[in-house]
Amino acid sequence: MRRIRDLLVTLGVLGVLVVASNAVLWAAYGHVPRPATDFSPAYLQHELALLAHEPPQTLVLGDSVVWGYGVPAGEGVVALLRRDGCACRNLAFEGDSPPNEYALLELMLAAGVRPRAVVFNVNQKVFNPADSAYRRLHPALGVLAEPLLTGAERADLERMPEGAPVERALDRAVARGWLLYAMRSDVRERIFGSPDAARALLGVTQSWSGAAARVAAAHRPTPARFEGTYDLTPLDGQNLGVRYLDRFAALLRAHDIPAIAFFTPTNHALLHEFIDNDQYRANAATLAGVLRKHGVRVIDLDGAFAPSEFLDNDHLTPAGHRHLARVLAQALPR
Amino acid sequence: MIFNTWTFAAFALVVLAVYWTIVPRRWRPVALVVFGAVFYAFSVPAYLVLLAVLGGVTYALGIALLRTRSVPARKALLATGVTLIVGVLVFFKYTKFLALTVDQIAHTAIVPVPVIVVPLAISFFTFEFVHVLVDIYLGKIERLDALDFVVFMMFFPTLVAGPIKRYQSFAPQVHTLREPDRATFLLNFYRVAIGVAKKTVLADSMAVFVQPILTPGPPFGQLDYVLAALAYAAKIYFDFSGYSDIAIGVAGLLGFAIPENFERPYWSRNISVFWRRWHISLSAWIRDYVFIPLGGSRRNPVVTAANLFLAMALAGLWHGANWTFVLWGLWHGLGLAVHRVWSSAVVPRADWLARPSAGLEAVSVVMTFGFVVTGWLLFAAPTLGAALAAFRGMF
Repeated sequence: MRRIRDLLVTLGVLGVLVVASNAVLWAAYGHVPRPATDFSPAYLQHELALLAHEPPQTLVLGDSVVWGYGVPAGEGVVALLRRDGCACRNLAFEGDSPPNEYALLELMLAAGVRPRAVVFNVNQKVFNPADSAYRRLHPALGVLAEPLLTGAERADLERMPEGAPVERALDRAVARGWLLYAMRSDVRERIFGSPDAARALLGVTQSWSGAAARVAAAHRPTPARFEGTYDLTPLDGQNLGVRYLDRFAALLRAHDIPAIAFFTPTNHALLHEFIDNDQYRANAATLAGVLRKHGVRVIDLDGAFAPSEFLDNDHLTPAGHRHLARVLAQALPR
Repeated sequence: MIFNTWTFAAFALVVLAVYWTIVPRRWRPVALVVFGAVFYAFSVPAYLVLLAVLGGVTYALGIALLRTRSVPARKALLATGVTLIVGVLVFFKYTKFLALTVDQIAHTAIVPVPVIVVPLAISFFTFEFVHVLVDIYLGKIERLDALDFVVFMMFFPTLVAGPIKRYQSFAPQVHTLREPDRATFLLNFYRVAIGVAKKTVLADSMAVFVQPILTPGPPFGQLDYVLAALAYAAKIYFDFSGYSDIAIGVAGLLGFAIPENFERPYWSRNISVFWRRWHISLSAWIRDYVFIPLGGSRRNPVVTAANLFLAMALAGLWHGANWTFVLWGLWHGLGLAVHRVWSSAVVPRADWLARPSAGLEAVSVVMTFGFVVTGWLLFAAPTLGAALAAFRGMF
């Protein structure tokens, strides 16, 4: 029995530390410039709770283009808009797609978030059934939105495998009780500006050694790398992305949330052989039609950017983000 | 079940609570067997049967060895047992490797490559079984109690990654199971926490630096390769010693003392000392059951060197079924052979070497570390080609 008392005392001390760290993290962890690369369910709950208790803001959803892939957080389009006085938040993330936006909107509404407006990008590549984001929910969204989805929606969408069921259940149980554990990836990315300290240090050492430049040169975008990225099958209601874009836009309208969609700027000089054709343009018209049906304002930026404003097929350079920020600033409600 | 999971954390907490509260003192050894069975069955339950059968055969042969007086009969019993145990290890762990090697030599698929799921911890429990039989044969174990042996076999803290236990020091503890005092209890709890931190924070963080060794190529420069080798040295140490810390800590919480496995190995002043500090339970096993039976260092220097090479090649192969591991073992065999010649032929003739200054000690530590880190290239690289490319990139 003595050992059980010792065990309980030890666990009690750990419990006190957990409660204290929860309190500190909850009080100190405010908005971040953009979600962590692999944001947690706890981060999203925290972010939505903050948004629900603040005056309505413009929420910018979208994929890695909007998130700011390849540029520092302070040089992404949403950070630039905020610097220009826009009350907006970056809720974009890598691997976003219409099913993810629909699930996120359901979650926001359930959390009592009432956005002033929603801005999002429409990227034709995620309507390709071969794209990894076509039917896959972000793990955090998969966890949180599951109770809000219908049975048919749960059958439509897939969640990333997370290991053995017992381990998954225990991990969630610990994450529910210990905020620092639940938000470890978010906290690390906030501190190091990278998924973790090791990757941040690796970035520094590879800059010194020149490996970073050599890796970048080896991965220089060429048209061949993007073969098959854009599907030129005519888009219609059979396409899961189109169906969920329709539901997402309908949900926005049902809650009287003003919405602006912009077609993702795409590097036509690089992708000429794949996207400069009638079917690509017809698919864009189909998507625009779906959005306009629900009163979403559509801005077509697909061919509006110069090749020098791209890092690859669609991710933007800092100059590209500045260009995008100027365009969106004019369109946003003041 | 893997140590750095919530499943194991929950399992260990339940086990500790049940073990110290509900289970009566005399039933605790039986409880340990049940806990071990649950722990082992968590991965591939069917292999629990393999463990039980092989353990049963080992026990039966051990009893037979204890009761047999005839030397030829004892030799036959030992040979049967060791052949059977090593045969099981070879079948499950090395059949695919052997088939691939034959196919590579023949440049055609003459031996079909089988798909075999390697039983959890087979490298550890087979080595413990061999130890039991050999030590009974040598008269170092004079009594084999069925319950003690089953607890020894199913002791879950050491099932996954050792340390490789010795029956003589373990079995008496089954009968004298004492609750650890508060200081010991907390120290072991702390040991487990340190082990988890070593594995999940330090070892896992090093993984991103190791890429140049895994896929060497033009993007990487000398600095990247050096950093990768150092990171791998840190990764494998924190990984393995972290696992050992968890095993030793959990065993301590259950009232057992099991052997230490690491003792600041990278501070060794020569490769011989390194092997007395790195994976101590394995190197002691290799010494006792491979090197010494081969003749150890009792014969001429050439035979001693050959014994070292063979023992270390087997130690390398024990780590994994790949020629890179054999070469890693031979690398260390070379280091040990050179050190043996150096320490017996050169050091006694130079007083400044026999009684080294602090500066010379430091240089020795750095040289030994460099030798070990270079060897890790062979251990970490997926192929010999990758190891050579990383080696060229580093120098």
